[in-house]
Amino acid sequence: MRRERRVARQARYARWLSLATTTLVLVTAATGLLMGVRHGTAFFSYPYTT
Amino acid sequence: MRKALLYALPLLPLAACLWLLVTRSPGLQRQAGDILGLGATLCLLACLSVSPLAALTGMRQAGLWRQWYGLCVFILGVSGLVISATVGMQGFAGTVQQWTGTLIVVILVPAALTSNSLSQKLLGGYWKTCQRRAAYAAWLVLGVHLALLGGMAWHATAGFAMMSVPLAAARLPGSRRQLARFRRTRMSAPRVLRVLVPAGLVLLTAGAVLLLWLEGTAIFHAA
Repeated sequence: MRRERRVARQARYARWLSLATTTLVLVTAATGLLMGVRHGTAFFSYPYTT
Repeated sequence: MRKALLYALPLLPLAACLWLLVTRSPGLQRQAGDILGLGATLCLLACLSVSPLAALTGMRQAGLWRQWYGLCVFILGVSGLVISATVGMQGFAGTVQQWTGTLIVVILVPAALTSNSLSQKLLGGYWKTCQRRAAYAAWLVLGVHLALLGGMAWHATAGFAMMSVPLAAARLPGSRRQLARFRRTRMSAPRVLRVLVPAGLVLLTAGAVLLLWLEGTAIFHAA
């Protein structure tokens, strides 16, 4: 019984971590894309220059 | 001594960038991007190489090496991101290449934060899955990042591809069992293993040498 509870808790933590990671990555990706596109064509510029 | 050197080696790019910062090098952003980017690439591939090499050699403490190289990827990535966002005019997503670089660091944030015994205890069997997903996602985005760098970084892309092919093959279902079998039986192993394993090791070594050479050249030019 204790083991089941522990595994259920671990699964819950893993779900939270997965959700937090996905949110973080999606928000960063969207923000970066918006910021980058505001730079205009330079965002997709070649060759790579900094 | 050799162990200490292997532990310290991944932090060499960081030391080179600190030198660039101290000397206020005019090409700081570009040079730091090359040095830290290549360093992080090497560390990620080293981290991904630990498991197959452990299966092949019976190496102990594989987890410690994985943890150290994984943390080094994150440290070098964050350093590169900070330099890119503060020194240049384009922030952290001025170009699509910088954007993918930022994504790699962000993907690794939860993996780095949970890279400790407490998280391992809290997440139990799910811990490994979370770490593995993060490492594979970073590996994939790194491939895209290098491909987007185009002609300027084709050597690095080639080195990355050379190392990635055997590493990906070693992750196919049943591969670890076959590697362990090769370790036990060696010359009496099936012919396909006697051909594929050395070929994979040669490709892995060649890619690593190419990337190390590029990293060495970048550090040498910075110094």
